[in-house]
Amino acid sequence: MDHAARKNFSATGRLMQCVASALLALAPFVVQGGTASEESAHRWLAKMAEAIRTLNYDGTFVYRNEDRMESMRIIHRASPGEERERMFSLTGTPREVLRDKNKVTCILPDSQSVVVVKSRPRSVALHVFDPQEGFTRFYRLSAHAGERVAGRKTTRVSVQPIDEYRYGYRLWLDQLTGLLLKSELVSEQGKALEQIVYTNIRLPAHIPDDLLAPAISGEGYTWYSNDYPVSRTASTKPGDQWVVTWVPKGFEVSDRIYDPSSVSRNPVEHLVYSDGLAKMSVFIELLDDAKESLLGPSGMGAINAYGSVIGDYQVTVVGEVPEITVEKVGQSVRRR
Amino acid sequence: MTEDRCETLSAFVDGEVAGDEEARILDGVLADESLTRRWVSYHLIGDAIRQHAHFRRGAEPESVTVDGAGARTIKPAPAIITPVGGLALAASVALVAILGIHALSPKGTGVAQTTTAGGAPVVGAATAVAGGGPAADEGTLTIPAHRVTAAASSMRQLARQTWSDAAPDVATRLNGYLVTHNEHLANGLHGMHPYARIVAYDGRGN
Repeated sequence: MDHAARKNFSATGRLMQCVASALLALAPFVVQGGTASEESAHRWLAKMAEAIRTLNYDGTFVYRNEDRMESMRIIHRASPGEERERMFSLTGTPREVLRDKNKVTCILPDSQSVVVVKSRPRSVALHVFDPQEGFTRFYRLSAHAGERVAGRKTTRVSVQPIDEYRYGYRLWLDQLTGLLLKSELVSEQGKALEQIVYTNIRLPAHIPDDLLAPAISGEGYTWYSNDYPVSRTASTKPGDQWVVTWVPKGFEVSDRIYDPSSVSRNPVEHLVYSDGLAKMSVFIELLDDAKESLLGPSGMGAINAYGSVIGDYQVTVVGEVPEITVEKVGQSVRRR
Repeated sequence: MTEDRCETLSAFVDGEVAGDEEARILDGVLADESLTRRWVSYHLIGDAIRQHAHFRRGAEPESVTVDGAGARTIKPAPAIITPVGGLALAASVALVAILGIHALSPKGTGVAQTTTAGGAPVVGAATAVAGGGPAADEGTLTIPAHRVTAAASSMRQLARQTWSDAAPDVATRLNGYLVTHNEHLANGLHGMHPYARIVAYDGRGN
């Protein structure tokens, strides 16, 4: 637009220009169909990943799976350089999980145990939500208007797997903040296998320390922790012995850790596989003679596990993936 | 319990309720033990029916007889019993689950073993049964006892055991793995929500 045209621009034209600019600013979060829907879904997922880590929130949700329904409360406080959070049951025996930048502590009264593991830094790589990269090769994404959850308007993001080796997701995100208000983990056929639904949520400006302190001391419980030196060393260097010969398309090793087991103190080789969204862990642990082993499939909620024994080692695959996936991966582990 | 509440709960279990109404029903179920028990039974029924859908060839098994050699014969039954009072189950489902049917795989290559796990019907075997086997066209399936073995040709057909029901050492070790694995999940889309499974199950199925 040249100088003369700009000078003669009418008030109506300026108003229309303002409206157009406002619409363009909102475009990333406008729910549309087709390609725009997929790109919108990516942006919503990035918004969700950021909101979960950076906002203060205090909410009550219901976890549903198979024959389980549990009400829980989650409190998350984000402060510069630190996140602290606490999740605890509101029904049945009090059970809770606490997390800070150093450790995750699971206090489990029914099993009279406390499990402590080192926490990992929270830094979701936002490039995974780029439509051209990350997990998008293995999932189809879309965004649509969702129903109200916990009294708040939502956008529903669907993440549909391309094969039977992965689960999908349906996520209902708060339109104002991007916070997750409802999620369903779904099979390839679209069946909900597991669900989390918030019944209420608050975003307080300040969360006091006492809300993040455990209500259970764990006194008298058996404590398991992986934060100590390995008491026994492997007969060969870590990584020399084992190879996983089959994983679903797109899964790659995202981490390889050698930490003592929080339970047995034996050395454990831990390989983490990821397709950018789903994750599987392969644990290879030297078995004590007295220890029983896991053979075959097992599970907890939507988490599947598969166990086998190779020589003196227990091989366990754990993942938020279908049973067939952990089974095939577990059966493919070989000794070099 | 009123009929209205039962119908509302049934619609909820079938996924026909959403939004704020869903949250309201969830709060109600958690606060009422009788509703919680009914919710559990509806889920068992629904899961069993869905897993056994392939078993239906116009009729459901009404009886299972075992001959002297240990072979089991499943005879179709006329209809599924509609759930009444929270205790009734589809006839075929109840029989297969309770009796732990051993099924012949379609090509006779191996055997699938069905067991119950945590009280819920598990039906890896039923797939094989529906796919073939002697006398399938007549609606009666006979599984020779000598085909039953402890090791399945495909581990997929073994019962998936809830690890809270596993031996204490195994369950404890799995819990440790799960907490470690969760830390990698928590670094992804869902923040701390994956830990809800640990809070819900507590390694002892409680």
